[in-house]
Amino acid sequence: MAIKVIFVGPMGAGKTTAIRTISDFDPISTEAKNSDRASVDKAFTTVAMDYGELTLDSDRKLTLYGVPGQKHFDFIWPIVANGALGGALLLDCSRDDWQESLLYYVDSFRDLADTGSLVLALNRAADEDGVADSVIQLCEKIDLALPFFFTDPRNKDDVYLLLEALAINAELDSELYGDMH
Amino acid sequence: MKLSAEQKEAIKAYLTNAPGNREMLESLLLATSDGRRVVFSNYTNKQFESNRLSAMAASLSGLSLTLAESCEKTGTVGGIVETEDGLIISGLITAEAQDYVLLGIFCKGIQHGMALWNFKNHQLEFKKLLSK
Repeated sequence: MAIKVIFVGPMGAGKTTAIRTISDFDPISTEAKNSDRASVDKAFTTVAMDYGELTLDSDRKLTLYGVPGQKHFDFIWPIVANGALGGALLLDCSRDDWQESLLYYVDSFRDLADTGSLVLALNRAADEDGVADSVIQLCEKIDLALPFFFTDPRNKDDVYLLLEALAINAELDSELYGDMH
Repeated sequence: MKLSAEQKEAIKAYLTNAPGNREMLESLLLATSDGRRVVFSNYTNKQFESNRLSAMAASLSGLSLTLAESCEKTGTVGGIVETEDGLIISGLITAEAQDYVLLGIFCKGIQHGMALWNFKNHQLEFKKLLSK
């Protein structure tokens, strides 16, 4: 059985890196030269999707999809997100606009957020307490309680932690509402 | 995106004056390979959303490249979408600082060979204009 998980968030937040960190094979990526180096200083950026896989056991594997982060690619987000068990929203908290990005991407993936199937991966946070307070306040503002973790997308355990949080939510969801579905 | 004012003018002039465009082409769009519109020329009264098309052209180009690599094909030049109302052809234009995607929307009834020949000519001209 294949279980689909998506990685979303703005350009440069670490989506491609996170998938590369845990995928069983070198992920399939669709990268092009970044023409907006002033905004995010990296040479290449995803333009369609990233794809990787993580084998859980002989019967189950996670299929890992990353969306292109730039807002003009929003047409492809629902296409990639279709059928996903859950998603991780990655944010680069060293950027001045990370709070604005949080609100924007949560709103864009509101279906996942409303069912608790969206976890926040907070990267490059210098002041973790301050960032945590901000996240709690922002979530209250939009009437959501989203799990969040301070992560480094290059660290396997950190990315696994995000997936475990999604899995726990899926199990709870199944236990609580399984009969009603 | 580092196009000079002269390059922009030359591209605009080319789009306006390119021979044969209106007979077979509905639209020609140039975007950066990461989906930002550079120029867009619409030879019809259809309401195309050029910014959206630019992002889609970049995604199509990226997928075409990756698909080709996965099929062990090298030297990807573009992709074709066939519809009952005509052809949509995308092609990558590589340049030193920035790569670009050219998207040509061809009218109903156009022959594949004619559309491809026309598109290749445009692709070649744009490559020259972008390399100046």
